[in-house]
Amino acid sequence: MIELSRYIPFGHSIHNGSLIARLDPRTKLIGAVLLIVCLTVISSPLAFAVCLVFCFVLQQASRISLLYILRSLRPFALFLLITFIIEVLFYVPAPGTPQLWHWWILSISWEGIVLSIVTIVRVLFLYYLTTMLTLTTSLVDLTDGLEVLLSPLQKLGIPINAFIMILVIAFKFVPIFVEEIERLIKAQTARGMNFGEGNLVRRVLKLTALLIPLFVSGFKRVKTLSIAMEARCFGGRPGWQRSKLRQFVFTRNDLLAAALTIAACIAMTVTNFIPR
Amino acid sequence: MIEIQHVAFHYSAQGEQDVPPALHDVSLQIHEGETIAIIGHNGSGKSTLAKLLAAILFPQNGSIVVDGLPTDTARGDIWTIRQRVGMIFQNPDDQLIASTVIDDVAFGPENLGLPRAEIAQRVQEALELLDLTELAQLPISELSVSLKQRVAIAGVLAMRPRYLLLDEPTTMISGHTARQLLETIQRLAHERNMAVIHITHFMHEIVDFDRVIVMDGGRVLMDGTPETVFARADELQAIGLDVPLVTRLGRHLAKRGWPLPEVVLHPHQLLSWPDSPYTDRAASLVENGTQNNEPLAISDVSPSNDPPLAETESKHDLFDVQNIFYTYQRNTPFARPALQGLTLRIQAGRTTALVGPSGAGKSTLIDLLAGLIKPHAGVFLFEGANTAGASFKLTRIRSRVGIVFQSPESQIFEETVGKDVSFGPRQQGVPLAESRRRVQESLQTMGLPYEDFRSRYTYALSGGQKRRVAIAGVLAQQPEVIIFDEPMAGLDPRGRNELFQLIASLKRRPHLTIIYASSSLKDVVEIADVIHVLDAGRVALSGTPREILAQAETLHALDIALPEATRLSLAFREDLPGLPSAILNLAELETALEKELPSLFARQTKE
Repeated sequence: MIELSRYIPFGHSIHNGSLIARLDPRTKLIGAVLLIVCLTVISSPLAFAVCLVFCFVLQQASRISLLYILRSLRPFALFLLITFIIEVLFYVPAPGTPQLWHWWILSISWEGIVLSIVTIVRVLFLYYLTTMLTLTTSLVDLTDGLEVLLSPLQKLGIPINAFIMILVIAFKFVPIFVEEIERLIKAQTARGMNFGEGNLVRRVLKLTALLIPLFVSGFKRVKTLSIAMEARCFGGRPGWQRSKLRQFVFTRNDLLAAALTIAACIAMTVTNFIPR
Repeated sequence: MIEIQHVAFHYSAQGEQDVPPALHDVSLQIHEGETIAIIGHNGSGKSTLAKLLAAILFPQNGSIVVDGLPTDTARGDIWTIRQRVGMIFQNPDDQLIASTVIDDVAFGPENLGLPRAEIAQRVQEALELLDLTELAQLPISELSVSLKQRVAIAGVLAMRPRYLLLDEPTTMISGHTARQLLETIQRLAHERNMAVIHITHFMHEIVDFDRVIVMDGGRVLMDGTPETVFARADELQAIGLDVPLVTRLGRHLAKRGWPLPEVVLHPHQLLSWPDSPYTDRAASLVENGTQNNEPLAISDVSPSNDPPLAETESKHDLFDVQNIFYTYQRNTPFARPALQGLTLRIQAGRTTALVGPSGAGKSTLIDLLAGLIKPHAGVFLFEGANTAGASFKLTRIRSRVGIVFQSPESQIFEETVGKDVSFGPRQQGVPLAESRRRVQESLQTMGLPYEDFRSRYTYALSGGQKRRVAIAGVLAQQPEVIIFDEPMAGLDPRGRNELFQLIASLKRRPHLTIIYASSSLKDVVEIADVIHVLDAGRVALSGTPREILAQAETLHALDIALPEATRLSLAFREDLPGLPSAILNLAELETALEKELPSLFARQTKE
């Protein structure tokens, strides 16, 4: 419990200079969106196979340890299993189809099992893609890329810049709160508190006792940081516009990646509609 | 020029009557290119004044005008002022925003809305000034504290301020890194005609400044050159401050008849008086007098009063750490090794010091010793029992070891003082009456009257009070081992003294083992029985304080600053080779100098 930041890999991107890491964040964002839309549409095993091949290529190009990503799935494994079971049990097949087992409103049927598996597979792919996105792109790049992509909306009068600013600041402060929790847990443990003992209710109560000190010290840090930011002239004044040091330039790698992604999406959609 | 006229500032929003104002009627002028130091006890208003100058806070009375722009009118001016007045805070983690070095340095210019080419140029310039160009693409989280502080300074310099405010910038850095930083800043100030306002508790840092302002209780007490201010040593000591060691030594020797100027600010002044046989060599005495020193044999050390380290006394090993490894975020791509094959033994009843720069592994080692973490490799024995054994519960260690963490904020979590101090005993299952007695006793030991403080809100305490409450909380656990993690960081001279007295009194308690972690040798040489110097996750040196002080060259290579008295004595050794090499403090230095130069003291009797 003490090394909390280990379990919350928020905002930590891996700078390993791989092909994927070096892509323009706009390419990655658009690619991720396209793939996610595709995934929600497809359901045939062949289409998923195409997706798997694409993910394999992505994995190789990113040079990130697969083991690390799979391990980060561990906290969710139980949740996924429970979801699967509930979905199977509550699936109501069309009348007339054979059921394997039946009791009250619960039933198990082949159709139910197949559909639930499809859902789980979809969730896994979605998780994989989004994790890949956050691991290969630093938060700064993500938010900058988002800002550039959404800038046309700014011209329509929607305050995109302000939203992005809020996102940046929120992202900045999540690790601060995680750190504060770690410190408080350490301090309390040192004075005899045992967070790992007691039934579930007691354990939760012990954690809630951390809430007030967390907010007090967390907000203090937040305030100090905001003062530092304001001291460097970050702030709302009428007509204030930030400029940027970094510039995004599309390279050949981006075109290649975009082409591959689009090809994969087309392949997935087409194979999805091939009658079995 | 910054004009401060009759400024008063109150922190409480509702204007409560019993909260004293942070600043009372302060009037000052700051000219471009001046180097000014501000000193004062904790709570004297130094930081408040700095924040007012940077237009982060606004005075309730009086006015502050920066280059003709007042800080209280049209909002537009405030941003110009904030660009002209740059501020560096104590803790780099509180001011670094971006993830990589170059992004953070660019943060300021980006906020000013400058064109890209200009931002790139300014960032390049700032990185070069602070020698950071090779590190530009590194993530900030991988940097050491002193590097982070350099990044923070680069970030502010990239905005080309005219006035630079530094609020205790060297608190978290020590050794020659701190000195280099200050030298760089002073050089830049002269090159760019930039005013530097430096708030500090370390008197020796400011001897070369143009002006020293002494604050006390929200008012300006003194304002003059270092000579004029440090001449009033008694007044300074009365308000909880001090004068540089060199000055104190100068006064002491002058009283014994040495023909020295009234206020000595530099070591070479101690040997260069008219007719001094040492005048020609005095010029070679610089602050860094350690260049020519080799680690000296222990036989050079004057007979010490330290008990020998040998196991003649029947003290048993309380902690036995053998070749320990610990890595943060192990088995992830973000792994960071902290302890890399560390071995040491700590005996019960002794005071052990762990010294090393930030990042050397002190905090990790402390967590290990307190039973909060388990080593990833190696053997850790507590009272001879292997902690890795299946039947060993970490709670066995935790119940007997208390830690006082670096920042009191991280260890006070209850609403009232009484509840917080009784947290430990309550967890231990101590009956109510006994718990109350312990709380009373601990608060008493820390100088906080029980009846007055037990129902005070912890959030409303001052920094110094919080620290005392935190220590009281640990004392109430009645631990057998107390670990102090950098307790003196950020304390003013009086605060340091009080803490020092407290630890000295704790030492007198039988059966109490004290472990003290610090990045500064000075804090520990007078109270530790054993010192272990850590470097990059391993123990580099171990020994009694004198043994450690005798190894000046090794310490210099590890970037650990010697205490001032020791440094001075090493500087004098060239001319007075009879001086002992491992001098602990000023008193010893004075005695040694008197012994070595009886001829000079004979002058007094002649006259």
